[in-house]
Amino acid sequence: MQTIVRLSLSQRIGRLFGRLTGRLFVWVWVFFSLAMLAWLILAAFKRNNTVFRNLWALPDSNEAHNFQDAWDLLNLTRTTLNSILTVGGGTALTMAVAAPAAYALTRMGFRGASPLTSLFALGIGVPVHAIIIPLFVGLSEVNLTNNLWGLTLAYMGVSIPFAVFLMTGFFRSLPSELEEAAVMEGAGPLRVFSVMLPLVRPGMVASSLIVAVGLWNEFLLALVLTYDESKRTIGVGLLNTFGAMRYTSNWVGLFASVVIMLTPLIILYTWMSRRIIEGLTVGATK
Amino acid sequence: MHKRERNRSRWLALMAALLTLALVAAACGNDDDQDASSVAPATSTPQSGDGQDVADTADGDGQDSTDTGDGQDSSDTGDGQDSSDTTAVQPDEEEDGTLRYFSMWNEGEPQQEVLQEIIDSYEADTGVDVDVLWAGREVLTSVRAALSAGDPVDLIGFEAEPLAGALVNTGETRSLASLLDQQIPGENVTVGDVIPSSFLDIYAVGGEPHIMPYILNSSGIHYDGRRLAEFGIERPETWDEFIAASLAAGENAVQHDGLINFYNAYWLYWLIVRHGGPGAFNAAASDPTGEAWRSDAIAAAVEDLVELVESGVLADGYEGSNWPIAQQEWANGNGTFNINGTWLASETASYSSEGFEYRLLPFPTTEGGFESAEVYQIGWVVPNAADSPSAAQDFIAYALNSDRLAGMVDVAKNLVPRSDIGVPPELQDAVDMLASSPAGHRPYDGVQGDYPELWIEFMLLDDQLFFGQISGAEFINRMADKTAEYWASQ
Amino acid sequence: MKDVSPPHLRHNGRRASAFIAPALAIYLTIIMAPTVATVWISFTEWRGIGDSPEFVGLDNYRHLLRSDTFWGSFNRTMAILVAGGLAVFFFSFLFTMLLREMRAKKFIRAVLFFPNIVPPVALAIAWGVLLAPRNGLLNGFLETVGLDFATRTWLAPDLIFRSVIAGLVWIYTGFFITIIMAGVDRIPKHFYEAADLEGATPRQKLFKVTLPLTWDVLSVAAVLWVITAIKTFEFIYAFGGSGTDPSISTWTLPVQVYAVALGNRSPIFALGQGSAIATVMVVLVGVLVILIRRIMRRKVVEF
Repeated sequence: MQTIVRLSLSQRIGRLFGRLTGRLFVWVWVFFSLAMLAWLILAAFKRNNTVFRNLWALPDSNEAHNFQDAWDLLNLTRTTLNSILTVGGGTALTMAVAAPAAYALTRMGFRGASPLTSLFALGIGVPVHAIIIPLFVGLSEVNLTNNLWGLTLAYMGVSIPFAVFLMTGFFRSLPSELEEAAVMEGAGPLRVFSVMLPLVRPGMVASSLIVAVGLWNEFLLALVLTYDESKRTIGVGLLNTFGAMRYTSNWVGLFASVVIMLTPLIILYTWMSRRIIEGLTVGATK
Repeated sequence: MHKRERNRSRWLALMAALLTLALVAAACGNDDDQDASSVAPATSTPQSGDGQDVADTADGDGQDSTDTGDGQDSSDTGDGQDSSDTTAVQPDEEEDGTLRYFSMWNEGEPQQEVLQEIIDSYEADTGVDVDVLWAGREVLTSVRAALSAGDPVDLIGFEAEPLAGALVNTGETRSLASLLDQQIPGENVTVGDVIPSSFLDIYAVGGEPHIMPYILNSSGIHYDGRRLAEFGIERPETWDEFIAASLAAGENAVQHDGLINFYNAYWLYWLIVRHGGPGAFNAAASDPTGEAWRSDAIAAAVEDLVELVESGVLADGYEGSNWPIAQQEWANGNGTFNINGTWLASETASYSSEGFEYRLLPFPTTEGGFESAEVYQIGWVVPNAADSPSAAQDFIAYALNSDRLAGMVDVAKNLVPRSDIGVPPELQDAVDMLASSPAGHRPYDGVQGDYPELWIEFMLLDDQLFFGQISGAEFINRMADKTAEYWASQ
Repeated sequence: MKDVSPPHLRHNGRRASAFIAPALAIYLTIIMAPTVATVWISFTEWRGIGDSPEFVGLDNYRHLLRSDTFWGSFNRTMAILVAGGLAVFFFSFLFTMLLREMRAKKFIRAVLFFPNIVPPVALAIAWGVLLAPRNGLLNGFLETVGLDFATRTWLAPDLIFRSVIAGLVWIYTGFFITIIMAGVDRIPKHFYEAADLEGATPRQKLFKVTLPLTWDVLSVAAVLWVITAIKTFEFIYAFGGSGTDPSISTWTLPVQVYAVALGNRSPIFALGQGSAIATVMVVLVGVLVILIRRIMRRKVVEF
């Protein structure tokens, strides 16, 4: 408070102005994002021949059949299920193997721990495009392409480095008293691990979230490793719908598909955006 | 104790190394015995760049297309009784009664709907289960994935050029010679009777057909007949007339979706074919020295393209138009001309402005130039790896029945290679063009299919020329260099 | 690396390997082995299963050096990395500073973050509609409010890639705000109070307090950006694509890997060439990450 007293009037006006401009800018950005979403939702109720003619007009009739068309093409139940299975399965299995590995790397003290930790960290920097070619060929050889298990396995592979890396950070910060107490009581390593695991719960949640969000947005692996309609994930399904809609210039149908796909996301997000964002930041700043 | 630990980590490192090696070995696959033969023909791929060849084959097309024009009158003869004896098709005993079909169409496209109907009735008539994947235009990516995994692929339907480039020329497809003698269910004719050999010869391997067309496209400049009349413009025939007509046609005279590289390539490819004749573009691409790009014909073609760009007749923002926006505007009456494939009517029919009169202008002629029509086939191939090749052939024969194929004409508004089925009124001009043309050539003169890598570099430079970023001379120099480099690396 | 395990646990090597083995095995199989394989395949000419790879040495790389397409993709990838990176970090910092004092902070952050959980295909569709030349939302908006002179052909060759980068900045700023904000929130309040007492200007606070105290978070964020930028694929692929290949003037390295090796409308299946580009990507990430760590290692302030 005292500082403000010392400022001259012009400085104060200057700062106020700067702050207002800044805030205006923030709100413009926010408004822009929301407006785009709103436009897409409104456009989904419009008609193809007028949607681009009168950009700002409200829908003049309720073209709800757009949603029917989109729903039929999008096969949303199937693709959502596939996404949930592969993302959920991939995340759960990743954590199931990454947590013990991170535990062992930080708290079981053996000589290879340090280079092995670095080896895992190395994987974070490998872009998935750099491995997609042999991965595709290799998984084809063992009949794991066009197969949700194969996709889940690939999802695990690309998630493990970051998950291990994050979890080592969380395990390392634990105090060793509890561990020592458990050992004193004659607990084996598995038992000690199960004592330690609840202590890194925030870490588990954060890592799972990061992994899950990453896999949810994953597109290339799903595109390359599966081809069948019944194996498509949401992103690939939407891309196919996009293709079909463009060939028939069915823009409103396309917007309806996007809206259908976004609705559950928006609901989920309003419900738990805070947890997602906080989980992510715990991870990134760990 | 420490020593033991060191051993552990060494063991881990060794395990890692071994796993890596094993995977590399697996990934690189020593499948020499599995499919070595399929690679061999790749090197002996016929470089169908010989302009003469193309022209010759296409000469035939001209003839056939004439028939198309005639045949349409009698298109509805003898259709009534077909459905009664379709049961003639029997699935082969030794095959499992499933046909795995990879199709280029997306669900919801009219062609897909027509094919779905054919498939449904085929299943009902024969008891064969057709398992179809509507894969969209990247169907070959799906095919490659399926083939790599050893999954069944019995039938593939796609554009002939990429099929040739990706599967036929590399020896991965079966000869369809025996299909020619097969009777078409419900009709008293064989496949060979109704599908002109001139179409089949274009992509034949060792004289035997590998691609069986079911749709016939071409390309040219489309316009709304009423609109030209409104402007009081004569239908242009030559390039100069076309430019003049565009200048007279008001704003956005030539609508164009410039973000599609291969739509941009239409202009220059056509101009080269007009100035240098069918095969000239292919010959330039296949000249190992690259010097063929410096020919007078190509210089003239490049000059004409630059004239088009500089004349300002291309619609505002053509260079940033994301398909299908420009063609949509064109169909809604904002703009006069649009260079495109003959599928344009099919793509825009659902939203074109009321009373739209689909007309097609053959690509404008040039002084002292050549006349030739593009023959753009969409067809089926049966891969070597097919589990049920004879079922695939049965299906092709079944689908080529005039009643069933008629859906492609009536519903999907496409031309078909059978000359005894009518034509959609929107494509009458295309039929006339094909019929009257003294010669024919492959889409993009076969460059896309024969030299897909060089084709990418070509499209990149062509874009720059078409967007006015480089001069004609620069284009020619760089294209000559590119071509020489391409051949040096082969 | 600090070993924090209690001494009496230090003979656990064998047990440790049982804990590590599953993760390690999958990691090596899915990531490391294919990385090695990619490098190996980049020395061959190979069309995939059914074809036998032919060793061609450095031919694929020589070919890349001469290819305009490759250099285009390379330059665009670098443009995303540098120009996009500067913009993302500038805006993230600006927003972090501005949001500190705004009541709707949580709401704004949630809105800005939202694009990060939307499948990129949907974002690309929205971005395409926004920037369409004549009837796009942006030009339409500019015309409606009377700013006709500001309308542009946003997807024309000279602008299209800037438009793509703008889209990426719009998406990723939300993500990096959350990271940087979390770093800034960790800074104890008394640092700022002390700065205020000394009459520090906002700029001084930024350079004397915020930046040094978030340096480690920034270093992580910079590495994350390098990886994110270099593997930008989905947005561009879906932006120009589906049914048609993305326009070559928007290709980045990963798009080109996909186009030449895995799929396309008229595919080439040049696995060797694709692998050579992929190898370039790996090297690029490696060099840049090392560089960033070198540069940013200094002046980590403990507090």
